[in-house]
Amino acid sequence: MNPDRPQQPDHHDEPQLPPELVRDLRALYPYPATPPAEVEQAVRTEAREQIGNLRRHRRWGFWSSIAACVGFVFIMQQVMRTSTLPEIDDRERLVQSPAPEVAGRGIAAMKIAEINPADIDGNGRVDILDAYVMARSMANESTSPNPAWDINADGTIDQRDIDAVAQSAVRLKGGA
Amino acid sequence: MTEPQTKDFRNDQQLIDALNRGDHTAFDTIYERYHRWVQHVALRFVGNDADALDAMQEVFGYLARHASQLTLTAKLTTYLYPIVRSQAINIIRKRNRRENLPIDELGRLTAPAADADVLHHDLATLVRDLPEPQREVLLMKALDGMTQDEIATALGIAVGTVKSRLHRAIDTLKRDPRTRQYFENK
Repeated sequence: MNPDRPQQPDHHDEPQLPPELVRDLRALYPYPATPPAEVEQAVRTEAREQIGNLRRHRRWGFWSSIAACVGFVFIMQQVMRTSTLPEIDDRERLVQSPAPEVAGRGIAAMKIAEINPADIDGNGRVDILDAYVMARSMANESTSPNPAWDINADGTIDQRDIDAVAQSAVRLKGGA
Repeated sequence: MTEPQTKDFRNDQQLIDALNRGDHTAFDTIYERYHRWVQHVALRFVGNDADALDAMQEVFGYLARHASQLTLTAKLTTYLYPIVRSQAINIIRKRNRRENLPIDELGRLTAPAADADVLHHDLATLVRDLPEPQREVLLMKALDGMTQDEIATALGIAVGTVKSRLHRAIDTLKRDPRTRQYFENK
């Protein structure tokens, strides 16, 4: 270590071996014979294969990543498409319905309700709860009943429609 | 040493970077520059040309397989030395298993040739009698031209340990009347 600059690395700290010693040590440990040409060729050939494989793997990995990204975007687009909000008309029907259970349902439930008007709460099945929802809504005189609730199609929405929903629920449950 | 077949003036770092990118000409240049040295180091462990050749092939096969993962933080010889050592030990292990020999000699440098000429006989004897760790650092310094820092990195030991081993090896040679003359002429 240099005493003037103790913190600095000092190349004089590196021991120097006498050249004659180095010369004689090299004589004791001579270099081996030159490798045969076929050995050298084999080494280079194997190396080219290994390096070529690495390049192929890297390229495969790159294009796989691209394909995965494209696939992900495509799938997300499909998911977004099937999860869109209901049409305006259906949305208005949801708003008009006084039953809080109906509001906010997805369009799938709405379509089932269109097929079966007795599915008042739009959960995809007709049960006694539908009759309950209907009865409670009709008991609330401040709101108008949903025109689709005219289950018996007699032109009025009354207790007979509630009974029709209840009977429909029982019929379905009874398996008839 | 054979002459390189192509003139490539890239330094080791540039060659490794090119190898990382899959440039096989970089591998060719590295091979040209270092294959003889790799063989030489391997020979110090395995003791015969045939096994040294095998070790050299294994080392460059390893280099090619790990081409994309190499990060050079020191000289290439510093990086290659432990690989050569490891491959040489594997070859010795296989050979000893084949010949049912004990493996207590694994990792030991071979002694200088027993039939060293008269001029070098005394030096050969002294070097053979040096403890293995001292002999290894002495040879890395003398034959491979490595600095103490490079030796420490290659062997994975502290620089202080390298200094201590080298100092003791040189001290042994200085104090012995058979090799004192190397140092008295300075």
